[in-house]
Order: sequence, then C-alpha cells, then structure tokens
Amino acid sequence: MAKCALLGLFPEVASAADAIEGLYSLDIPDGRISVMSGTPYQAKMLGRPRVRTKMNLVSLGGAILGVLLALFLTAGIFLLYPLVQGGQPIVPIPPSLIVTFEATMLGTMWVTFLGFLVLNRLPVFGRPAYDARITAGDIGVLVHTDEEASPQVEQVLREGGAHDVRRIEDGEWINTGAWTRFVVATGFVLIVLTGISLLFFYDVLRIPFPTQMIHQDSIGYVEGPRLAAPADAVPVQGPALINGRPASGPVPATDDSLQRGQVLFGINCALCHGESGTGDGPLSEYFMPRPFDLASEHVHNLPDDTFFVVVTQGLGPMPSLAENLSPAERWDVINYVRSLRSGGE
Amino acid sequence: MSAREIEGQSTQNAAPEDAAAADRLRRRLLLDPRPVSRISADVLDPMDRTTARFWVAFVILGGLVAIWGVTWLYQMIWGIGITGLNRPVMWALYIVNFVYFIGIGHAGTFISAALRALKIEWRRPISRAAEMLTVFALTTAAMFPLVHLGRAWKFYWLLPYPNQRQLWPSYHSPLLWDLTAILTYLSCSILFAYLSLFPDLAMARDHTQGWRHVLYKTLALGWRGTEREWVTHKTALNVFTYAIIPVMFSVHTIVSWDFAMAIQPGWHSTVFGPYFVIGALFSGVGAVIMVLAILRKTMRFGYFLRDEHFEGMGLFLLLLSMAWAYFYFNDYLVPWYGQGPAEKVIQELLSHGWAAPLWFLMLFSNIVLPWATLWSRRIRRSAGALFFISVFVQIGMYIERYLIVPTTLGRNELPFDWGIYVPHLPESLITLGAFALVGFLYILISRIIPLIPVWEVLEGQVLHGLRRIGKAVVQTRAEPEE
Repeated sequence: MAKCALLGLFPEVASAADAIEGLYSLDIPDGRISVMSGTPYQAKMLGRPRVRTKMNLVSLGGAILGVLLALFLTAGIFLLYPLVQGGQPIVPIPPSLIVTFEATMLGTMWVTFLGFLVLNRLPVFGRPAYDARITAGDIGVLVHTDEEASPQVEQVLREGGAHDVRRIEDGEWINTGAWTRFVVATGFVLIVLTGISLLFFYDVLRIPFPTQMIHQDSIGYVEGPRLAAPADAVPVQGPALINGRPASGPVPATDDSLQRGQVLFGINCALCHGESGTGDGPLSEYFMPRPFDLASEHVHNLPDDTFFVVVTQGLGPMPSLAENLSPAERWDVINYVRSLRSGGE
Repeated sequence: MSAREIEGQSTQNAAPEDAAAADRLRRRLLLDPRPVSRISADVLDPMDRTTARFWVAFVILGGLVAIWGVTWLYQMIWGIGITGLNRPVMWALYIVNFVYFIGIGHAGTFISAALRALKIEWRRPISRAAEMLTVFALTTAAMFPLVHLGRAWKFYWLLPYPNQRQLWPSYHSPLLWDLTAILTYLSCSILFAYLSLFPDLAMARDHTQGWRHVLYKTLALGWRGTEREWVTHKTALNVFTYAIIPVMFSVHTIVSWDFAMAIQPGWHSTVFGPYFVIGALFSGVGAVIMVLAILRKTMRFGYFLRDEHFEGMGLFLLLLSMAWAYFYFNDYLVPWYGQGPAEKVIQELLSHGWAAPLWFLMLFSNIVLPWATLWSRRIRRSAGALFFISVFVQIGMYIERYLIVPTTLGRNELPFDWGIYVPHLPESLITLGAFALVGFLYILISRIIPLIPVWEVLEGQVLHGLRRIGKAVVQTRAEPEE
C-alpha cells in the first residue's frame, strides 16, 4: 500500500474541528493527524488529545546543570587553589549563593531553549508538508494515510469545510536523518574545538602571541629549597629594635664611656641639641619643631631602647646616625645624655 | 475565526443602542480584528519603507557610532589618561553609562515577562519592541566595562577558563558577580526574544520574497506551527518568563553591590539594591515609552500601538516615580540623620554645593514633573506629552547616576584626597556614541525583524470578545483551562 498525505486548509477552528471529528470516525489514529496554525489553539478547541512534552523536565535538567557549574566555580576552584581573600572562608556561603543563583538561571534558560529546538527537531531539513497560507490565517490539517483511503479522507476534509486539499508528494517529508546528522556533527565539531582550544590553553601547542608582559619588570617565583641566608645576615638591625625589650648589651656608664660619649656628643649632636643638651644649639633655630631638650624630665623617663632607636633611625627632622656611630658608640652617647640631668644642670 | 463569530452573535442580539456602545468598544485594542493578511502587511510593509528621514537618522546615528569607534581607538593608543579620570575619581562617565544602559535594559523584560506573568493583555503588541530595547541597551552597557578597562583587548582575563596563566578570577568579588549576572541576562534576553520570534519569522518567511525570504527562512528554522511546536513554545516561554524576572532583579542589584560593597561614604548602603532596581525600571519604562511613540509615528503602527498602551505605561511611570522617590528618601534620610562627617559633606554638596543645580534638576525630573502631570488620564493617553515627560525622566535618571558615581567619589573620608571630576572630550564623545548606538541598532532592526508580535496579537483577538451583562455590553477575555 502506497503511503500518501493530504493537507486540508480550513478558514477557521470550528470547521477544522469538525473535519478532525470526521477523520476519527474513519478510524484514523491520533498519530496520523497533525494540525498546523499561525496562532496557538488549545488541543480541546480542535477536539484533539493534549500534547504531552518533556519540556519542564528539560528545564529542570538545565537548572541542575547550572547548579553543578556554580558549585565548580564557587567551591571546586577554591578548594583546588585555597587562597584566603578578604578574611572570608575558602568557600564563603553568601557570595557563592549569588553565583549559584545566576548560574542556575543561565543553565535553566539555555537548556530550555536548546530543549525546545531538540524536542521539535528544529532546524527542519527536507521539504516538510506545509502551506504558506497557514500563516495567513488558515488552519492546516495534515493526514497521513494510504492511496486506498485517500479519496475518503479528502471527502471528509472537504465536507468539514476545507477550501483546499493538497496532496503531499512522496518527496515532501521532513528529513529527520539529516537533522540527526546535523546535531551529531554540530556536537562533534564543538567537542573537537573545545579539545583543540584546551591544547592551546595548556601550552601543548604554543603560539608566540605578541605581548608586552616580557617588557615589564618581573621575577620568577622562588624555587625550593630556599638558599641559606648569608652568615652575617640578621633579620633586624639589632635586637634593640624589637619593641618592648631592653636593648641588648648596653655599655656600662663608666667614666671612660662617659668621656667617649662627651666627645661623640660634641661632634654629632651638639650642633643642634646644644653643648648642654637643652636643645639650643647653633642650628636649632632652623628647625620646627625645635630639637628636644635632652636634659628634660620627659626625655629622661624614656627607656633606653627608645633612645637607641631614635639615634639609630632618626626622628622627624633628626637624621639617622647609624652610619656615624657604631652601636657601642651609640651607647656611649646615651650614657652621656643620661648624665646631663644627673649632673644637676 | 470561531471566536469572532460568537462575538458577532452576542452583539447581534443586543438592542440598537447597545450596538453603538459595542461599536465604541470595538475601537479598542484586540476587539477590531482585521484579516490576518492585512495585519501581516501592516507589520511587514513599513520594514521595506525607507524614507529620506530614515536615511538622515541612519547617517547621523551611524556617524556618531563611528566617532565612538575612532575615539575608542585613540584612547587605546594613548591610554586612559586622555580622559578626565584621575585620583580620586577613577569611576566616572563610563561607569555612569554602564549603570544607565543596564537600567534601560530592565524595561524590556519587565514589560515582556512581568506583564506576561501577570496576564496583562495590552502588553501583547508592545512586548517585542520592549525586548529589542533590552537587547540593544544591554549590548551597549556591556561594552562600557571594556571601554573603561583601558586595555580592552585583555577583557578575557575576566573570564574563568583554564589558561596557561593559571589565573582564576575570584568569585568572592562583586565585579565577578556582575560579569556573571550580565552575561546571564544578556544571553537569556536574546534567547527570550528569539523564542517569541519564531512564529513571526515563519509569518515573514511566507509573505516575503528575495533576500528577506532567505533570511527569514534561515532564522525560522522551519517552524510550521504544529501542535507540538506550540505546546513546547508555550512551556518554554513560561519557563523563560519566570526565570528571567528574578535575573532582571538580580542584575541591577548586583550592579548596586559594585558600589555598596565598597566603604566609600554615600555608597555603603543596604538600601542600594532595591533602590537601583526601581531606578532601572523607572528609566527603562520611560525609554520604552519614547521608543513606542517614535515607532507609532514613523512606522505607522497606529493599529497596534494605541492610546491604551500609553495610558498603561504612563501609569507605570507614575508608580515607579513614587517608588523611586520612596527609596531615594530612605537613602537620603538615614545618612542625614546620622550626620557622619563624610556623608554630611556629600549631602551638603548636593543641596548647596556646586552639584545643587544638577540635584534639583534631578528631583524636578524624577518627582515633580511626573507627579504633577501623570495623574491626568488625558496626559497619559497623549503620546507626545508622555514622550516629553520621558525625556525628562531620562535626564533625571542620568543625573542620578552621575551624582552617585563621580560626584560622590570626589568626596571621601580624607579631605586631602578630594577632587572634582570634569568630563573631557573623549568620554563625552563616547557617551554620545553610546546613545547613538542604541538608536542605530534599533532603526536597523526595525527594518529587519517584525517589531509587532503578530501571533500574540492574533491570539489575543481570538480570546477577546464582547458580552452582555444586564443592559451593558462589556469586554471579556476567555481564559480556557488546560
């Protein structure tokens, strides 16, 4: 029995529904009838069974894909490369919720759109049974039947109110084979392209792209094992600089030390702080604030290590004297300055 | 159509005076059906018509877009230093444009998806025009982070993909949330617009010849309008509707977090999220009104775009203006009451500093003008008046973003670091080009795709009818259950 198809074109819904009822009375099963229209009509308006689709399931699948993507971006990466940022935990929940929401919606909508195409086998290949008058307001009822029954079917369609019935020739079918090949080929091309691009990303294939990065100041990362520090290297400039601890090895305030201190004070300090240390040296008027009065109560209540740090590093307009005085010499000067007050000035 | 027949019968039975009333009602939207072929022609014919005015607009807008391109190239060669950006104002016009155009992009989804979800019927003819505005405004907005980037060719460093730099962008940062949200919103808005376009592309395919036929045939992917196609189409549109509304809200909320997560005074506010969303809808609905008014005039869409649309949109504009004022008052009152030193400086700058003229113009455009006019039904039904008000809304909302970004940034906790930003020529030209780009893309697409969703209008006409209740003839809408 040769197969054939008839497409009846109806001007309105009621007549199409009548014709469909007539077709049912010819014992033509649901699967062999299909209705096309330019506006959406519900199945019951046409007296047709409801079409069931898996669209909602597809969307749900998309949402799950989106959640997985989000988990990879927000948790997976950070568990692989744990870097503490902004005092947050490695996988902080509130920011992850934001990205999870967006990725879920992204997955839902993209997969819904793709699912819409796949469920309808779009794009259509071949020459499907169709008539341009359908978008001009007609309703098309397509019946797949065989040569024997076709006159009967045509009669039912015309009696129902079809203003035209077209015979669909053998060639005019949807080529689902071409569709499958198209989808498989597209998927294959995408996978191959992804694979090739990964080769580039991981430097398996190298292209010397021009980049300014080589012109920038840069250093390589430190490779282990780390080199030992030089023998005379110390982490800080003497233990005296460690806050809150007494300066180590202060030179005792012997007469010798005070004498050395006096000489060194005259060379290094007196120009600003004055011979008597009261801050009225020849250069003092050029400074604002004025040099400290080293004989004052305030200065003498300072701990030794503060003195040492100030002499070593300088303070405000006062320069560092680390290059002029060895640590021992600094202690001699400090001993001398301490004696300025106890000397009863 | 059967629905039209029933509708005819019901009014035939009515008394003569009822027939007159029914006639008046018939002049309303969706109740005066024309033959389908005539409706298709009404939509398709203007696409072929390119008047002298069209070409003038085309050349002017295209020229401004070209100027953007040249200026951008110049900026890439000489660096971002040619703009007015300098310490402490490192975010200025480019970011203002970004926020502004993302805001415009909210209206399309709001009108198309939210009104679809709420089953507001008059949205049918306007949803496509609004969706297109969303797509183009978002495209324009998405370019501004690149312009702002300086070295625009390194933008892909933002994307998380395996790379030999072993660099993974941090998803702890608001900027990455922003990128994710905008890519989601932009791509899904395009898919949403495409999805609702299938039946109309098929319609255009069947009614055109030549290159247009080839184009529509390719884009329609062989849509025939079978039962399965319609059912999946409806379900997919439903999923998109309910998925894209929260995405729309999230996008501008996250844009606001770009600001609110910083401890800059004037930005660090918990009300910023909803305040930005409302501002976005406000300016977006204004922009859609402008687009609809222009379309109605230039493409002769009078049959589809009626005074009812402008009335409804005007009402939305008024509501959004009130909501915006509410949020703005919240955002103003709390720092004002707290009298924090830095916030005080910023608020004094707005109320009686150099920014005062801008601030008062913003309050006038966003609050005084809409409240003074939009209560009137006559004004809401006039496309010209609404267009005028919408222009002011655009000015007001642009100023609002300008005051939030460079003006606030010029005042911080440390007075030694204060500054005033003045736009230089490059960013001014690029800003002009951004407005031109939206218009340019829009007039291009107006000649390529049907801007009225014909299938939705036809569906509406099938479902709508007249019914007698007592002595009156009233409009009804059929809502068939599944």
